[in-house]
Amino acid sequence: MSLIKRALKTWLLLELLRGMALTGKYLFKKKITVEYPEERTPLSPRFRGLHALRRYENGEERCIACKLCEVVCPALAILIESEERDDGTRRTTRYDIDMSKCIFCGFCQEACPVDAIVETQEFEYATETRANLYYTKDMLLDVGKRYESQIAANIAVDVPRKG
Amino acid sequence: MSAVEQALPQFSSKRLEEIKTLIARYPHSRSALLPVLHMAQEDFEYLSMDVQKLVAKTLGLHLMAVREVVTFYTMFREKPCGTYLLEVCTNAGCMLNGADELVRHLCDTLEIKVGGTTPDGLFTVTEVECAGACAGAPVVQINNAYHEKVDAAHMDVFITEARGQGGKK
Amino acid sequence: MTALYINDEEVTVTPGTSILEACRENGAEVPYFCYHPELSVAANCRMCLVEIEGWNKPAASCCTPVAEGMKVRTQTEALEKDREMMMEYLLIHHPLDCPVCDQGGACKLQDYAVEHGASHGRYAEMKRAVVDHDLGPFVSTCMTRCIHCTRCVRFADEVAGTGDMGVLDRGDHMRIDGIVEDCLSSELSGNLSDICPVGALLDKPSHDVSRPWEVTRHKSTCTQCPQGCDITIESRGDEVIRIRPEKDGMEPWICDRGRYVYDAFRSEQRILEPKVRESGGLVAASWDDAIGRAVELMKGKRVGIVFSPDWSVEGLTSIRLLNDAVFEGAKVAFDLHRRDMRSFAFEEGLAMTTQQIEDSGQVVILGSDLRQRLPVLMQRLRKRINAGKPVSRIGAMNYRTNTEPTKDSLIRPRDWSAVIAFAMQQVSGLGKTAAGMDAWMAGVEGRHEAGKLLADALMDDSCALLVGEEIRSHEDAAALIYGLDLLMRACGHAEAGKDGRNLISEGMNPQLLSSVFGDVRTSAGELFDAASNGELDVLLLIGSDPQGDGLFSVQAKQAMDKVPLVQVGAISGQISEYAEVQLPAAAYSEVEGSFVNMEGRIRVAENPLSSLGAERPLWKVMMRLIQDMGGDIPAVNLDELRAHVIRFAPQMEHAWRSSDELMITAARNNTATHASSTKAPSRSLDLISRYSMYREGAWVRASDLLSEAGCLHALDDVLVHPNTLAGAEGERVVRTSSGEQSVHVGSREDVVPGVLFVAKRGVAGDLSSESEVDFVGGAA
Repeated sequence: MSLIKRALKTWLLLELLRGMALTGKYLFKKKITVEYPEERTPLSPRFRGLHALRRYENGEERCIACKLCEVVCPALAILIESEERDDGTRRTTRYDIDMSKCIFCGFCQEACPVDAIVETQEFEYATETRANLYYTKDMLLDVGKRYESQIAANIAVDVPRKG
Repeated sequence: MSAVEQALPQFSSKRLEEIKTLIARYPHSRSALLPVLHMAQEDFEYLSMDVQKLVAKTLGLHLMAVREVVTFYTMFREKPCGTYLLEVCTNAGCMLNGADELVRHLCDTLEIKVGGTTPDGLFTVTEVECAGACAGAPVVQINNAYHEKVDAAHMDVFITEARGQGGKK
Repeated sequence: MTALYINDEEVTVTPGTSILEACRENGAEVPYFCYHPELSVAANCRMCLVEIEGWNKPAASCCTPVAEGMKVRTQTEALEKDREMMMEYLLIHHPLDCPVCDQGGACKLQDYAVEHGASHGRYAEMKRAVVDHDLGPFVSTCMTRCIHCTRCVRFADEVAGTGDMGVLDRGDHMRIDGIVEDCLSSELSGNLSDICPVGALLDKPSHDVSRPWEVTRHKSTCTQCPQGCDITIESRGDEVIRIRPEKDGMEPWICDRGRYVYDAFRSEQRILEPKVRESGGLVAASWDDAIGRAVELMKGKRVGIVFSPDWSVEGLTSIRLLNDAVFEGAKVAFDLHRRDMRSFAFEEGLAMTTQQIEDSGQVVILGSDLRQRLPVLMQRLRKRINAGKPVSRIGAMNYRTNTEPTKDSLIRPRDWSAVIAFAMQQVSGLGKTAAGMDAWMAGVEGRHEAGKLLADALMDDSCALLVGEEIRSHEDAAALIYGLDLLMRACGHAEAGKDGRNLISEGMNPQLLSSVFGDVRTSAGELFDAASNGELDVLLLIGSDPQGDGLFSVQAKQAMDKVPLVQVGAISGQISEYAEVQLPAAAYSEVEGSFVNMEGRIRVAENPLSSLGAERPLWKVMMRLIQDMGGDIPAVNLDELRAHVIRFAPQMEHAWRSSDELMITAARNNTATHASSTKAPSRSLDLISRYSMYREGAWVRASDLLSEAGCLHALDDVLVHPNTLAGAEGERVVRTSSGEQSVHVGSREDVVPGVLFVAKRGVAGDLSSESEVDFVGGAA
């Protein structure tokens, strides 16, 4: 009996057909795969990606060199040097983030009293060498320039949630 | 150095005598500061930085010690003032009885700001703290005389009369 | 003793102590802003409120003295409420700019706002703003942050004595202001930023550079004057951010010279790598090459060694070891300010601690510009004068002290023996005498009235004599000091425990130097003369800058023109143009070592800054030289070296084993007798080389900050009394033993007639080698 059953199962390719049926079902079902990089998943406004240094609308740097981000950074990835600029304001002369050290905890943007250092939703900044992951002040300001509209929008969304 | 000292105003010898007797009354010369400042203001009309230096030198004090006292009290003036110094009390009693309007009226009439002096050098208007005559509020102290329960009309009359005298008290 | 209860715990304190001090002594936390242990009580911040049982209102603890059986509570609900309200009041006008304020992170206001303040401010009106002032190169201001505690005002009045800070206006308009021309006139002005509890007065050179949490603190000793203050060097990496007085150190203040010299640590003047002279210029070389060149220059030659007294004890001893190992019999000199090398009856160094000087019955300053030389000691004397205790002074100039000495007498340097003789006559008239006094007195022709001041002071039970540079640099110093020694012995101020014979030294480690180099030292002038006369083949200068400092700049120049120079040191200075070889030695902040100050207090520095370049501690450089010169290395580590130190100075024995305060005493040469001099002066004017704290010393000259201050504080290079000048200020020809020279002469009333005061800089600098000069004719 069992022999006949097995022979039928084998020779009528039942298992194959069952498999094909499953495949066929998904062939016509709505797709859930996101085809990165052509397609992207939505990101939270609180997404913690590449860092940026921001400027005010009048072009003035926001950062006042208070060094709170430097001291709060658990990975010691931030390095700041400061001086009194000619107009008497306190400014950085050096603001470096070593992205290879950074653990993207977001403490720096939490600590910042002037919303100068923020994490953008950018995460595609892979480089060929580790050295290129060392972001200097100019690079960070440049990131800020490129993503300012996105950053401002995200902060605006986040304000009511923070309360 | 000596050139600067020569430029300093000097007390008259009679005044110096007075100051000397005054200092002798107190254990420290510093204690004589207030009366000496009054004398200096009488002699030199107002306490310019040079006069303050003179007072400091006379009493052997640091200039800063003199400046502290001069700036603390409103009765000491660091700038020249007009022939008539109109000091309007603006503390609670006077304020409730219209001191603020009085000040505004005076300033408008004389076309000056509070603390300013008219271009003819006749009037200076200032606000002062309680003049101690709340029963007669609002009070305006003109030079050394109290004018109590004054209003805009009273001040207008005073100003016209004073102008008529051409600046002589 | 008064017994009281603080938070139910019984404590005893000395009567008259304030409650706040009692709480501080016994570990009960009371917040305060305006109180400062070194300043008078103002009681205007009202933060230190405490409850006292039986009182119906809380009391300001800083101005309430303790009473027997008082029951004090420092932590109650009502007090918390009061403190919260005080904080709200203080913060009404305080800007919310902590992130850009240098004080942020080390700010009392910040700390107390967290601890005692409310979480929300209720003040919604306009805040006020106050105009800042320019207080010179050391203090920057942000007066809007001021909370009017008036610590700075009290500091200027009581400590600095300048009284140039004050409170102007009142009520809402109240503001702190300074009467300042170019800069604060006090030599202690840097302390203002330390005493300000908020961010109103800040340190200007380090402004906006670092944060309090970033710095590493190194305990060290300042070697910029013989006071040798305990300092804390704050560094970020290898960069020095600032220098502060050490908390709980001997002195609560340090002077601007010691505080702001740090920019010299990284200045262009630093020698950071070995260099050798090649085709006219100094070029970097390896240690091997440079040492090789030095050995080539010195091997088998007659060497003259001149070194600075400011190296650590270990460094100085290694110089002696070098001398013994390979330069046996070489000439060694270190004091660029001493003309008379005969042994002094009391050698350099203080017999008393500064505290003992402050407490003694009488203090007499003999010929010293203490405010410039030892600003911190002067501050103690100022405190003493303000408390009504006498300080008298004899000297050639009415040196500014920012307070009036009780008695003051102006004399010319040539009159010192007459002054001492007059004092001897007075005390012997009162039946006090010592063996040899009559003979000494008889040797002096004249008598000078100023001696009365000295004799009067000597009659007191305790008398501290502070003998300064006018006597120490005198050509006849040994005789004068012997005369003073006789006087002190006659009046009973020389016995152990009561010894008041203090000779102010020129640099650090005075007691150690007289024991380590006592038998080999010569006068620097003699050494340079020997070099110019061909008796020496090469000069080895270790940290010393005879071109910029001291009384022998002319001789030094002649000597260096003649013989090659090997320079070891941390700062290159003017002499580097003569150097054939430069070997870098580490700065005082960069070595593990010990220092002895003028009181004899030993201080061991243990966690030095990391060095910047190829420099090595001086002792290692010396050992290397010994090795390459073919000698046996006497020590290979600090412990062995310290064994040698103890061999020379047995008093140092416990220095590295005990953490107690250790003192070593200044040498006393009771066998040294020197008859008074009868040499008549040959020229009409005495010359005194004037000391400026902003210009003296190689380190100081390498510091831009201090140079700037030096320019702001500078007087004329050459000063005389208007009567001596007899004419207008301007160019005058001065005749010296070596010829005639034209210099610009200024006049001042506070100089004694007949004396020429010369600053060691510019064209006039060369005059400081002289001790007597003449004016030639009228204006040139």
